[in-house]
Amino acid sequence: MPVSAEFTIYPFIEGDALPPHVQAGIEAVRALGIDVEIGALSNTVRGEAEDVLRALHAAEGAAVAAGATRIVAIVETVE
Amino acid sequence: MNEDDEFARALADALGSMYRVSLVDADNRVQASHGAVEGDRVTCARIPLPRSASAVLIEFDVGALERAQRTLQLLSDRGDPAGNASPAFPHLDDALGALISLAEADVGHPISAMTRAEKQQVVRFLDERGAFALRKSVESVADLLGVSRFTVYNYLDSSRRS
Repeated sequence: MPVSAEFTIYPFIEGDALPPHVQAGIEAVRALGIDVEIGALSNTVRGEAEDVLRALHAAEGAAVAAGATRIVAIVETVE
Repeated sequence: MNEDDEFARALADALGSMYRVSLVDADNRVQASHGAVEGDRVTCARIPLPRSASAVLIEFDVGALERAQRTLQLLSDRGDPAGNASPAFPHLDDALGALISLAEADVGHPISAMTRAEKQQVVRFLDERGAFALRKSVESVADLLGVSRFTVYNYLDSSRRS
C-alpha cells in the first residue's frame, strides 16, 4: 500500500541550513536507500507503507539521538 | 441647496489655511511668505533649493489635513449611488492573494523559486499581517508550499512561540 509521510523535526531552526538534529534524521533515511524530499517546513518520504514506516522509525531514532525534542509526522495513504 | 452650500463651505474651510510656503535663507530667516497656516499641530518640511543657499519651508497643519481627508471621504461617499460606505475596500476573498503577491515582492521572486528560508519568511510575513485569520488561508498556503495544513499550523505554533 503506497503512503506518504510528511515529518517535521523540532526544535525548528529558521533558515536555509538544516540543523544537525534534522540532518541526522534525513541521513538515517538515506542510509536505508530511501529518498527524502526536503521542504521549507517539513520533509517527505513516499513509498510502500513498510518502507516509509521503517524510514520514519530510523529518522526519529537518529534525530532524537542528535538532540531533537519533538517529531511530528503525518502518514497518509496515497490514492 | 442649503445643505450643498454648507458642504462646499466645509470643504473650503478644510482646504484653506492649510499650507504656508516661505522662502528662508541658510540660517532659516524668513525672506518671504505665501499663504497662511493656523492650528496647534503645525509641522514643517524644509527643502533646500539647488545651487542656492535658500530653502523653501512648507508649514502645514496636521489637524487641517485630517479634517480635509474626512471631508473628502464624505464627498466620495455622496458620489456613490449605492451608498456603500467605502467603495475602495477590497473583498476579503482577494486579500490573501494580494498579501501573497506582497510577500513575493518583499522577497523578490515567486514562491516557486524561493529557498527554504525565503518560504519560511513568506509564512511569517503573512502571519504578521493577520492572513491566517482569513477562512481557508492555511489550506491555500499549504497547497502553495506543497505541505499539509497540519504542518503549516505546527510551524505557525513554533514560530509564534520563538
